[in-house]
Amino acid sequence: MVVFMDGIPYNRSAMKRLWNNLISLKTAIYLITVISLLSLIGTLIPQGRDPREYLVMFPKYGQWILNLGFDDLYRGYIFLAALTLLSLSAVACTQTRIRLTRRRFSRRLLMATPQEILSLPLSKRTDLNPDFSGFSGESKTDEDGSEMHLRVSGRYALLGSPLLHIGFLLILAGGVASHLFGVEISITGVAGQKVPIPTLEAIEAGTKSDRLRRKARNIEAANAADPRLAELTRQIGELDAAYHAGVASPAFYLEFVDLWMDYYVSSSTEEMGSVKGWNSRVNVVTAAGTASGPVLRVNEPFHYGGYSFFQADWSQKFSKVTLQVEADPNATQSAKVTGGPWTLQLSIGEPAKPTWSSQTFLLQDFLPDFRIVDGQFESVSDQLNNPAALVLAYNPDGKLAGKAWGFSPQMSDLGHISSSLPYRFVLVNAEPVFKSGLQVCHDPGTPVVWLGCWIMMIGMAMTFYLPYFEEWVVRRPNGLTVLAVSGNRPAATLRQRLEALEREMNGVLKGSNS
Amino acid sequence: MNLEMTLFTLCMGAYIAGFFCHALSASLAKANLYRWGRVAIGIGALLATTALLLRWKAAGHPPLSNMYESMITMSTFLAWVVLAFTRTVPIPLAEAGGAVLAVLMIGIGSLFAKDTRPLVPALQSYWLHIHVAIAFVGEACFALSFILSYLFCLRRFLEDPTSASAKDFGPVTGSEKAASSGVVFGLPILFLVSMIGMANRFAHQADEGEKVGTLVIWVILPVAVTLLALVAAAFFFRGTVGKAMERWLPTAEILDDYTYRAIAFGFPLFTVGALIFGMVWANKAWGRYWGWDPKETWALITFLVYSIYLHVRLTRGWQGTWTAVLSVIGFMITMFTLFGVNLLLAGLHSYASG
Repeated sequence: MVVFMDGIPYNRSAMKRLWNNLISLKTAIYLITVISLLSLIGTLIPQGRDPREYLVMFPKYGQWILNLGFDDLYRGYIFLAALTLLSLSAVACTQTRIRLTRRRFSRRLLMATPQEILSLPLSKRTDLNPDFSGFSGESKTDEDGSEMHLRVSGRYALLGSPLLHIGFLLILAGGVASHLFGVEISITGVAGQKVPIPTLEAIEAGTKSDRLRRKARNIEAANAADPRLAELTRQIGELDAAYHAGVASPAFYLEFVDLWMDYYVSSSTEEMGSVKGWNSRVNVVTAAGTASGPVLRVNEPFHYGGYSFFQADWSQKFSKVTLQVEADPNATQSAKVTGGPWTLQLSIGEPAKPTWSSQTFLLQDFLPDFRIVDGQFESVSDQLNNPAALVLAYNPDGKLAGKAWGFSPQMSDLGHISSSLPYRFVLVNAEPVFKSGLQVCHDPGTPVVWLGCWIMMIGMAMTFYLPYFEEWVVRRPNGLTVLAVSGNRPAATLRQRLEALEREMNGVLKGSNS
Repeated sequence: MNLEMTLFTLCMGAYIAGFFCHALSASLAKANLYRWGRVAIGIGALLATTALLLRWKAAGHPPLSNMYESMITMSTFLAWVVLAFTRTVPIPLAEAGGAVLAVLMIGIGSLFAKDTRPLVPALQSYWLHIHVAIAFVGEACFALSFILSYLFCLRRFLEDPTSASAKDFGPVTGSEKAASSGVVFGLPILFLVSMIGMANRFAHQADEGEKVGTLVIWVILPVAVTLLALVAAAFFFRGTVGKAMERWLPTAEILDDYTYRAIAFGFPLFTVGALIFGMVWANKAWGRYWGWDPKETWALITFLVYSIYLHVRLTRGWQGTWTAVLSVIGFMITMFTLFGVNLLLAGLHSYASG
């Protein structure tokens, strides 16, 4: 007879087969292997790049990478499908494990048969028939007349394995919640700047828009005339509009009050003055007013309004410099100037007219850590290690008079390089303007993950560090006595335990004989 | 040479002395030599621990922040783990193997920058100490399980079918023989290839020529000569070596049992230290507990491989060659997670590659 469930023929044996496959260890191991291999591939193929980069980097397989979603592998359908199947397998296995553990925990003796105990790898047979009345309590007489006595120690270790698996499942569940409902954005700001923090809905829209944009780019890379692109473009437009609306009327503003860096001053290390920390003092600005916030540092996040803020990035720019200007002794006779030295303060892009010259000066560029590469000046870092400033000078009629590089006092001899002015510029000071980058996150999955981690840790400690022993004494109706030991310790330990049990039984024997 | 370097040099000397004492104690069956071997490794571990503490004091942070520090800390943990695990059951060749691995770790570590540097902002957290130290203890246990698995494969490869091991684990099948020989000969070859790769990498970097010489003279040549000797002995004196191994090595059951013990002890520590505490720290520093960074991903792969080992052993009752092969694979992945990722793959843990 065919059984129908919701109008669909329900094949009980097929369901049973499916269930058996799901709880099979073999399935779990295949899935773990697949996930391991996919994870490995994800570390070898750069993730989240522009589709065109894959086509250039992997001319043969680039299109395959994009089609299979391996450019964003951990969010791709293949990886998520494998993870879903593993989760289902883990749920099924955990359910079976809980059932077995419950039986073993509370009804171990009732479940056991003499045959099972006789087949244990660590057992000893003896034909003595001691006057043994059993351990403290647990004993039964089996249907075949065998007396079975059990002594269990470390019973709670049995709970370890189910707990471990429940913890693992909770971590997976938390991960799914983070994937579905978690959002994050990056914000940057300089001191005094107020940065809007969009509403959660807006950030979600922005995140979805980014994912769709990525999908659209992949489709476009394969076929620019793909009909799905129009629909995707429409959806992206709607999501972008929702995001911008959220930015326009944000949940609140974060004001960067003060930004500064800390440096090491200890003389015990070689690198004097290397960066110790980046600090951002922030305020929260809402319609109700301004609330002073904490100082954000790396490893010291700040939580407000359901968001967490993390000090994630830092950069500095030098836009204001102080120069000492001297007359260049090597200047041509006609251009030579007299007097000096003078002090000149310049900001990038802002012309300055000093009283001691008829010319106007402009700081066009500032390189905090310059090198000359192929004849060009380039900065190799944003640290003030080897600064260089490019100064332009204009005559009163607005015509360019010339340009010169200014260097630190140690490098001032280089002042003649590329200089067409009768001055030598020496950098006295450069004031940095810091830009702080914060990661803004909202992740409702995190508490579930931490709960899972705790349960998993407890489960692992119970499974691997709590010893569990079952010591059996079975007296067969024919007078044969079997001693057996099992548990979660290695065979050598179990053997010692069996020997101890045997000695104990000998003591019982001797006692009963005397 | 500063005090720390002197202590590490003495420590290497002690490990090498321990190796010879254990090798001789196994071949000559002298209990005294075995005791001296343990004393030598114990002294080496004490010297290394003192050197680590001195470095900690000088730097102001535990020696866990770069490749050199990772290697020397790991090698010290390995020495202690080997001593602790063989406290009640002597396994001289495993202890000798532990001493060799510890020396190799210090040797390879010394190729990287040894100066103490202040911690970059991202590393200024107590989670650095907890996360890395606990993970390293777990990894040291994996290293011991690897040595024991290697010895297990060596035993199975050379085994006399009438030996006690053959009774415990059954006669070696063709596939087991192939897997065992793959481990016995393949691993040293793989190690050599990776060292040659590292030498090649140094050769292409400016001012690193000296390191190539060190690597060739102190690592590549000794391992290559040992490998050749092993191959020659295995082929030309197969019977003699087999009989000697029968005497030198503990039973396959003990090797298999202790491999499991080491993994069962190390797995929770690795999971908690590398993965869970890593997640807690990542969440605190980067605002997300998991980001599929190569280091995180490879730590997950390591966890998954050892979880396969534990599942097949505990649930399926697998024992012997195949679990030994899994343990070897697990350790290779552990080493790649520790060093390969830092050297070959870019990611958020790139500060550890120096």
